[in-house]
Amino acid sequence: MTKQTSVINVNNVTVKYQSFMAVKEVSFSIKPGDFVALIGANGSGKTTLVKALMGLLSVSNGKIQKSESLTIGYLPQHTHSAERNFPATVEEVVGMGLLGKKQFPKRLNRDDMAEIGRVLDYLDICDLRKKRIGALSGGQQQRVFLARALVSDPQLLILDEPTSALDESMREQFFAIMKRLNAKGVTIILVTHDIATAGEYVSRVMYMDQSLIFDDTFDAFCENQQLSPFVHTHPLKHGKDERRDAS
Amino acid sequence: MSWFELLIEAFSYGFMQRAFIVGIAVAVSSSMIGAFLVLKKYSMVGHGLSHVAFAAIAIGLVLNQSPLLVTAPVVVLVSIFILHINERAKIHGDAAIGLTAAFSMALGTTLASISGGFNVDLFSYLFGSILTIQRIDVILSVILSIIVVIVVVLYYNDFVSMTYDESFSRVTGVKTRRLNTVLAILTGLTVVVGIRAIGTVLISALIIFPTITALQFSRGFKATIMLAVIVSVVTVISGLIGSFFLDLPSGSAIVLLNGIIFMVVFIVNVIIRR
Ligand SMILES: Nc1ncnc2c1ncn2[C@@H]1O[C@H](COP(=O)(O)OP(=O)(O)OP(=O)(O)O)[C@@H](O)[C@H]1O
Ligand SMILES: [Mg+2]
Repeated sequence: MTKQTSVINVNNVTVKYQSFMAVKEVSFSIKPGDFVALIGANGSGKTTLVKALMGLLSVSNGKIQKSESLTIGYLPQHTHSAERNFPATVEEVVGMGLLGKKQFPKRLNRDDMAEIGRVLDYLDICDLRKKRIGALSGGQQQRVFLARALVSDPQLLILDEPTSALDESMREQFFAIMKRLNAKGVTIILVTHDIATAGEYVSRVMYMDQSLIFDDTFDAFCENQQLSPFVHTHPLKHGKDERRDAS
Repeated sequence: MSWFELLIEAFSYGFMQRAFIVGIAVAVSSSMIGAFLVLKKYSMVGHGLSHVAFAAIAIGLVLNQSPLLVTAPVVVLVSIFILHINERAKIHGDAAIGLTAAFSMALGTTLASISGGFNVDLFSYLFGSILTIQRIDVILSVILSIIVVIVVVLYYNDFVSMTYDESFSRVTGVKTRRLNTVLAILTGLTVVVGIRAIGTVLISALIIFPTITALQFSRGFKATIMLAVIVSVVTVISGLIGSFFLDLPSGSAIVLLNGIIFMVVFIVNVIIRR
């Protein structure tokens, strides 16, 4: 293992909820500049795995190594906290993404405000800046959470189903943005059910079902016969209606 | 006499001066932490802790100890327990609050009946009696509110981020466990100190009302928390003055006022939005 050069090194990791094994003996390493699509059926352990990567869940076995200075931008799957009545503006929510960079007492200054403005502009949601987060639609909120993940210019982006609420054109736009960021050297782990769209952008597909079953390029994934049950219900092989079911 | 001279007269009493200082101090700290508690869906924690305080006071009275001495550590410990419980055990916060409240109430009333029933002393703790406020309460409440203000101001962004999205804030390096414990301690202490001014039964109202009134204006976080503090301080001041002239329990007057203000704001809001 080339420990120094990898962003994250995962060695034989098992994650349990009580006695239930959600992630089983997974090993892989993420290299700088990787653009990974992490896929698998509902309940296959994707969210559990990325939470463990970020230290939100502790592993019951194995080891996760990452550099001390690694900065992570995270977009959670269920933004249940996006409660309708929460008194925060879009600007305040995106500002939360900058706190990781700040020293005590964490205050946002004019530069930070400009940074927030830039990322909102980048994602084409400048007009939402002063709106209350709860007053936005699901897709608008998802863009705001993406902004919150991006605003600190992290080295690694971990996005848990960031496109689930986006419309078709926004989805394409999202992947274009990811491609641009990836070209600039940002490492990306993208949890998605929309491998049909993601496939052409990512450099690597990881398919898991409790354990890691497949880890290679998208082309190799499409040709893989062993994964036929999954590839069969794979959106690429079917019409648009199924694609909607899959996401 | 004009109303102004009446006010001057009211303030010439030492107990009124003490009540004002304690009242404002409690108003500031309860509304500041209230904003976070309400939005974390821990609105009822003040309610639960006030029941715990009731039991602790009963224990203090039975043991002939200064109630504050018994109440403070017990309430703070239970507060930490409640705010951390759903991290590990399969108990929701509201259930934890419900069961501690019920258990404490049962314990408190049992002790009270064993030791000869409710006396005047206990009643004053329940509903607040500004006449019983001592100099030590003044000092404690002022120190407490200063601590609350300093902690909230220094960790403001961390608190907001944690309240909004705990997982995300942990990823950005916010020490959420530690902050939760700090919040729990401040909540416990606020409840204990608040008992003097507005009583165990009613302190929970000062944690909830100002925040939900402020939330009606649907602004950003900073505006909401500042508005809550203003509502809280104004209602406590007017409630105390009202209770002085109308000879009402101070806690009841303050909470009634909060309820009225909330309803007015709510109704005006509904009318405006139509
Ligand atoms: N907090 C929890 N406590 C107990 N079990 C859990 C918990 N969270 C997830 N699980 C279980 O762990 C397994 C993996 O869940 P996880 O959320 O990681 O799946 P996922 O691959 O992200 O699914 P989805 O595509 O639906 O988001 C599931 O079987 C789920 O029931
Ligand atoms: Mg998931």
